[in-house]
Amino acid sequence: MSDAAGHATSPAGSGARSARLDPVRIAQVLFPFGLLALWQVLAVALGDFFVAAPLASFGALVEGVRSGWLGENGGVTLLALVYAYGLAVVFGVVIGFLLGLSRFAYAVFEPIVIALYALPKVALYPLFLFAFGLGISSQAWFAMFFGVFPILIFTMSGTQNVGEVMFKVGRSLRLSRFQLFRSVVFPSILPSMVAGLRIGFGVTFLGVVLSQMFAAKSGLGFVLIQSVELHDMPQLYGLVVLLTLFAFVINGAFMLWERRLTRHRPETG
Amino acid sequence: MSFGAKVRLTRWAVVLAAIAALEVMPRIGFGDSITLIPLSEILPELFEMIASGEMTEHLLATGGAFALSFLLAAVTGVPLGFLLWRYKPLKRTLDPYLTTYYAIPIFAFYPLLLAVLGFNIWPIVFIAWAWAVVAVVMNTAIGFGEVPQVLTKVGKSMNLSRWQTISRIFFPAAVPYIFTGLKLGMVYSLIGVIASEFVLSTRGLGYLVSYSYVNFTTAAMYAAMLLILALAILLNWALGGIERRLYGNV
Amino acid sequence: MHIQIKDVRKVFEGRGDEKVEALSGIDLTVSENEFVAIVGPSGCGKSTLLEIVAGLTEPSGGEVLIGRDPINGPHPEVGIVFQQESTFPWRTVLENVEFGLEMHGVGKKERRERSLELIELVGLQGFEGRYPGELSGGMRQRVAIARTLVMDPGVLLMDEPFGALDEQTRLILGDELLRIWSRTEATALFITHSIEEATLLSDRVVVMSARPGTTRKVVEVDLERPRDSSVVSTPEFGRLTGEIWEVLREESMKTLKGQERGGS
Repeated sequence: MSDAAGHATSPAGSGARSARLDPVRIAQVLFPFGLLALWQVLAVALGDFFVAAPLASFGALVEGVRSGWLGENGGVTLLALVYAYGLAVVFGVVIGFLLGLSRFAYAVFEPIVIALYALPKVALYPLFLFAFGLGISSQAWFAMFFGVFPILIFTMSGTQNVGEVMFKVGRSLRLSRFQLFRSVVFPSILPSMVAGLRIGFGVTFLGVVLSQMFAAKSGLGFVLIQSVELHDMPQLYGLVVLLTLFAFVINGAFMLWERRLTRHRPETG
Repeated sequence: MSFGAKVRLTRWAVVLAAIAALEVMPRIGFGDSITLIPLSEILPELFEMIASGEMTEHLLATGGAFALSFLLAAVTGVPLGFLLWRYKPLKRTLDPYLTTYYAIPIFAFYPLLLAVLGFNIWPIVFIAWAWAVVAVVMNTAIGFGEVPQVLTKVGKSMNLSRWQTISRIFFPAAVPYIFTGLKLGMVYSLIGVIASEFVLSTRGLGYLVSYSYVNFTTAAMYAAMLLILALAILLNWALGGIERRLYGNV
Repeated sequence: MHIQIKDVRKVFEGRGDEKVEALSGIDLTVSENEFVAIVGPSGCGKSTLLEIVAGLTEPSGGEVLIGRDPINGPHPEVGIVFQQESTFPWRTVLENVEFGLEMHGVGKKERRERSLELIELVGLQGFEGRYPGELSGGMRQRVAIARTLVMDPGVLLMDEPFGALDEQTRLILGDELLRIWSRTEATALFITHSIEEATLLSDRVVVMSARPGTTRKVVEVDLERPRDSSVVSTPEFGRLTGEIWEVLREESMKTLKGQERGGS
């Protein structure tokens, strides 16, 4: 609406509006610094019993690297994450693709899969502990169980949405099955699949951290719970920020990939 | 048989087969008999726990935290979504952060909140709220943004006041999106509450699962799991029904 | 109530210094109770012209008078029907038609009475309680027409109201529109890209040029009223549409060539 947009173009100071510098861009860059400043203010206002200062938290992480606990537990978390994500990708892509190929299978399973995605699956973690024992396998399979659904759902709907006409084009050019898959079907599915891979990664990571908070002896989730018991606030704040930044960076990489894939495509609803 | 009927029939068959497997697999000795219990033995245990009042405390704790966090998410999320739509630069600034929001393992904040707020209901409510609210905010903002321009032209051609345009055109037109946001918010609130309770707490259905696991009272653990899943399925089903009725008119 | 369009111009500001001239000096007078149709190649600015008359868009130059009032914002005597789906999906047919009256504080009883009257006029009696989603596209456009007419406008503007419908439905709804219009006293300005529809409905057909839009030719339609779509098969109708097409074809070719040069 024009009057809504009217608010958008009221510059605070006209001198600040150069042609190159978009104020929104500047605000986007400044936003994390704003959060950092807020954190510092809260630390001072509430005291270090509640809020560890940014510098102290960073110091705790440096100390963690030096004494080795960060590398050790971070390694466990990373290993579980790679293990879990590998499983989630394989299962999600393969099952999603197969279900997406048939209109009937898609119609039958789509609501079931979406319903499963929306369940509080955390409560089922003991089943994984029974099946795989305490350790990295149970964590990985549990996190896989979190992350597989978005990958599966996006791959499934991407496959289902490959237009019938695409197959007809392929057939009229007498492509082999492999050619059809590699040159027509796969490129059509890819953008939607990558969106699934991105969201699936976030959920898998969440699953790993969650699982390590419960009945674990190592991993960053375990350290988090330990820090609560020891009331080690710098360590707690440092770890939370570290995990958040890690998720942010990986997600950003996936988004760049997505943007590259959809660069040449017209926007669709 | 029509395509739709065949689909529904097959879907039910799949669901029933899954339930049957839960009954049969433990009986034929899949897994060992202590860790897997057939469905027909879990159900009486669940009813027994409900009847004896053992479940009441946990049910109330979970229900209370869920209701509170969802209400907070709705009450804060819809106005925030509206503001975001109204002030485009704000929305454009926050967009990259909002879209990455759900990639963050928000549960990492739960221990932190426990340390700050103590072992009570508030860390749970806060986490569940934090998980739910962004879905409400984003869907509300999208809903207002997606109102077809022609509808606002109709309002303008009739000389409506700004308030009338917002309350009589924008808001009702955005309702389906806001509802989707609230639906997601509800699901996320429930997941948030159960997960927090499971990881570390003193009451609630999630706590009951972890407590029973640690104490090897496997039957009670399965009963609590079953109740959680049943409540979540019921919630999703009810929301789906309301949604169909809402969209039936559109 | 008559419409006077005096030397109306419109220039759209594109990115940077780019400017697109949509309308260059349109002059047109529509007299009281006259039905004028405007046809023109796509992108000639006919919708822009209509929105200027409706007070929804500001002209870059010139002025529009409704009766004696210069337009600067929506005028209470002007009603407009859009091509796009514009019924409110959350309101029933009756509530849709009542909308404008409700917003302007007309009492419940009166607005119900007037709305039911209009619903009957557009032939939707029996559908008062239905939602737009339950109706066909043609029926929804009739709801939109009733919603506009219930305000009793002296001027009725229509921007391809049947543009999204198929040719047969369009002709039949054209008949309906003629019947409805003959019952109102409204002055009508109708935009379409269908020559047949324009000829069937109007007293005069204005052919607009390719962008920037000007009036290329005005064709008097001297077919007897009341008329209906059976006139389509008369030789007189054929002569008129032929005359319009001759001009319109030339202008459409210009538009096509322009697009090809533009390379898109």
